[in-house]
Amino acid sequence: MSFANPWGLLALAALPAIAAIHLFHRRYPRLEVSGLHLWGVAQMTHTPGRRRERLPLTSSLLLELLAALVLALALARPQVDATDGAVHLVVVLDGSASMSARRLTAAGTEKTFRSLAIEALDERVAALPTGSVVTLIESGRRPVLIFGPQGHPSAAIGALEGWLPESVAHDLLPSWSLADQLAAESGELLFVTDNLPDENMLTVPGRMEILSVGEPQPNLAITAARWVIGGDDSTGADPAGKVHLRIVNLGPARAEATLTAESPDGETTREVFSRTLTLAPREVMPFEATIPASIGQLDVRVVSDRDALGLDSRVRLVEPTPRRVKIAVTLETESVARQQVMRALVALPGWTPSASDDADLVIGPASVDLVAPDGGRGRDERWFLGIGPVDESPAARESSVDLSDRSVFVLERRHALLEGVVLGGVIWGGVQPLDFGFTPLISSGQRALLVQRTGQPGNHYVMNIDLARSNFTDTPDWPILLSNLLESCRDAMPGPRRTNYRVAENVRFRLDQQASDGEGMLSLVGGHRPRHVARAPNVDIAGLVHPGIYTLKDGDRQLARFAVNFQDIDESALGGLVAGERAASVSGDSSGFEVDSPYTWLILLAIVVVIGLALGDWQVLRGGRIEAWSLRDSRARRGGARA
Amino acid sequence: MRHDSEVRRAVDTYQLGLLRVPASGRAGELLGRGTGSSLEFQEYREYTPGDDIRHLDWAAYGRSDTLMVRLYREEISPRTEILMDASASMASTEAKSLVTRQLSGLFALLAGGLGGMPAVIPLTADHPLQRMGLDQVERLADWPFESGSSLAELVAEGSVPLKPRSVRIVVSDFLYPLDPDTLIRQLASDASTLWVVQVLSGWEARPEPVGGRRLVDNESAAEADLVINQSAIADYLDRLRRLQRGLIRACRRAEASFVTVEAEAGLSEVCRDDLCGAGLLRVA
Repeated sequence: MSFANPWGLLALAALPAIAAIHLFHRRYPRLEVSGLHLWGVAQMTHTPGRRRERLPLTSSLLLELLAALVLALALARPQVDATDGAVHLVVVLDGSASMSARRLTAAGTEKTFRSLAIEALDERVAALPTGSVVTLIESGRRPVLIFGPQGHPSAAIGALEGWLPESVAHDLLPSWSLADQLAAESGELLFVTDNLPDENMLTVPGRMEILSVGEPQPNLAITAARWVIGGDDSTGADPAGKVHLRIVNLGPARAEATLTAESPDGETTREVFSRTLTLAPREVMPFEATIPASIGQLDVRVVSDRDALGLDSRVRLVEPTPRRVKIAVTLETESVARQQVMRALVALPGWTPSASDDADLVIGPASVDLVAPDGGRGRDERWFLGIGPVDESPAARESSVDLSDRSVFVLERRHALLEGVVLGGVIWGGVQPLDFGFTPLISSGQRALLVQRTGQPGNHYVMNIDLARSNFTDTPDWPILLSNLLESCRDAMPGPRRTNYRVAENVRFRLDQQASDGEGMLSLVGGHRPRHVARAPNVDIAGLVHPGIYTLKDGDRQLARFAVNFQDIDESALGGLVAGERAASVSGDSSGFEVDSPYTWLILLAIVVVIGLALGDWQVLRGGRIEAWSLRDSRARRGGARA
Repeated sequence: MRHDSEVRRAVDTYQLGLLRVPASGRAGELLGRGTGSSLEFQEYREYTPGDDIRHLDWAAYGRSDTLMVRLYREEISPRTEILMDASASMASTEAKSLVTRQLSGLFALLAGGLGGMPAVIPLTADHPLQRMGLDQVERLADWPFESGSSLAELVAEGSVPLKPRSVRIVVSDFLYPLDPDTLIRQLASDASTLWVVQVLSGWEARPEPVGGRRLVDNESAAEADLVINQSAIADYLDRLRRLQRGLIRACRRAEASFVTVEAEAGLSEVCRDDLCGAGLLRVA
């Protein structure tokens, strides 16, 4: 046993002092009485003693001696374990996917950098002085505390069993800052990674030691994957889809690889295609394959003996859901407007012609109230584009204004409909006054040229134009405007916009009416753990960092199914990894680190005991009214006395 | 004190046990609201065992075969003075100060209920002493017992304004140096009735050994160290008994009533056991 604060033992000097006080100045507790004369003077004792007398062992003396003893021990802080030299080791573990790469050796034995990092860390932790504590942080888009803070070293390595570095390239500064904060003034910082950061990087904490376990490794990666239903055929007649891949050889030598794609077939899988590839060093190979319709899911792998990282050699793709927009064009058959609209729509993908009753988007004359005829659909779901002239009467046409190509157009750039629209050299003809409520999207002076009607259900746009007197359809802005309208309408349709995403990419989709009107949270199944998603008309899921297939459910009802794949060429490039160690550029002072005593509870107990003893002593010494004479006792005594 | 539930209950339950023959002075100056032994007939009620058979109406019995008791108004002295010891020793325990206040208030209310003119006189160092009538009796509820003057000193100084032919009720612990004969004789002087109530706390009546203590007199602040053991307690009780015997003897000589009550018993038990037993109260 030792004492963390031996000076506290000086308090033991209070023991003889207390005894001396009691010996030479005996103190009786005060007791207030009525009628002191009734107690008689014959019983009086000597008040302040100056004679040598036997020290009476009163309760007060014993309580005070005990309190002084306990207080002295509490101040001295007795300790059983020696904690001299104990440190607080704060370790930042690189959580990037490259840490999961295998070290390919000539002997064929494989160890991942993760395993090497754990081994190195195990040695480091084992060498820590007794009483040290460890904190482990995994870097990532957000730093994660995976052990501690200030945990016992014996449990630190065990906490890494489930550590799976899979993050895409990320900023390490938040993790280093967190570690720096946790280490405080006296902790030691260690960054375990697979590549030594640039020595001139200013953001590296000066007192952080860096240990890299990485080595240059060859690697093959799928850096892009896309599944397109029916190609780009706007008619949708071809049900087959195509998969586009981009495969990269990131090694310094030629690599032979096998590319296979499988799809689930009941309990088993069936091969969709298989190819043997040969990739030259640094070669980027695009690959395209036709995929049968309705196979649901595809699991694509690249297998090679020159592939150190498996995470980027596999993509899981979910078959996209067709999201074709049904468009009804109600413009007059021989009109210029209809011809120009159809000319542009032919070039756009992902739509089908439809009757106006069933259409998602209706394009018609601005002079007709397009909203009124509701073909049985919810009025608020339909999109409308009215194309001028707004008033087709000869008088109105006569009085309409043509804006020259030198006119100044003001565009609402933030609106999705106008993304990419510039209106350079456009002659905008047939502008008429508008007699309805609107929000202008394109205007010139006081004249509104493209507006969104207000007070109408759905999205109702009106082009205040006479295409027969304008060159707008001859400019690239025309198909861009219609394409923006088509895509905005498509985005507003229920269901996921895409089914295949990259790690850390935001997943967005719109719920259908049934799911939107429901109650409670939605559940997202997939990744390492299920999670809840807030129910809203437009769902936005962020932070999906684990590759895999995800399913969004509303109770038992499946709302969406999508895939998240690791595609990050920065992490796939393993050729520049460097092993080594770098000492801290600033030497820290770990001597000031104080470990919380494992016997803190003893000190707390001692303080409680001292307080109890002090209260007891005060109770004994307090001037005294005898209050504890209860009525019940009194009655019992009175009864007894009478008996 | 009217808001004290114990006092209110006692007022409803008891009446003053005034002497039928006053010790001195004229009686019957005032007719009380209670029943008593005056010659003024008040009402009839059915006889119940225990009633004074002298009050049976035999004529009515002959007419109706029902024993009826004639009730008469009680005759009391018009003035009642309650001398309440307000020295610090009366607050040696909460119960003691409470019962002292309650008894003083109870006597005042009972006397007031009979139509008298009660006055509570707290015995303090004030000159002249305050006299609190029925309209001021509520002040007793939070009366501070802080005086350092004892009843014996105040009476000896002539500071206590005693009205002739009044009913005097003294509430004190008598735990101060005194000559019982002198004090009681002075208190009984020219009084129609004198009641002496000694209020003690339980520990004062029966102390227990507590070991060494610095005794501090709560009035004189005199101090003395004493080991309170069985021997010291026996001596104390012997002196207390001698004091009480002296007070009893003096009261007997002055035709006064003396009773000792223990505060921790509470007002209800004090009234039922002690005051009724001594004849100071009786059930209404």
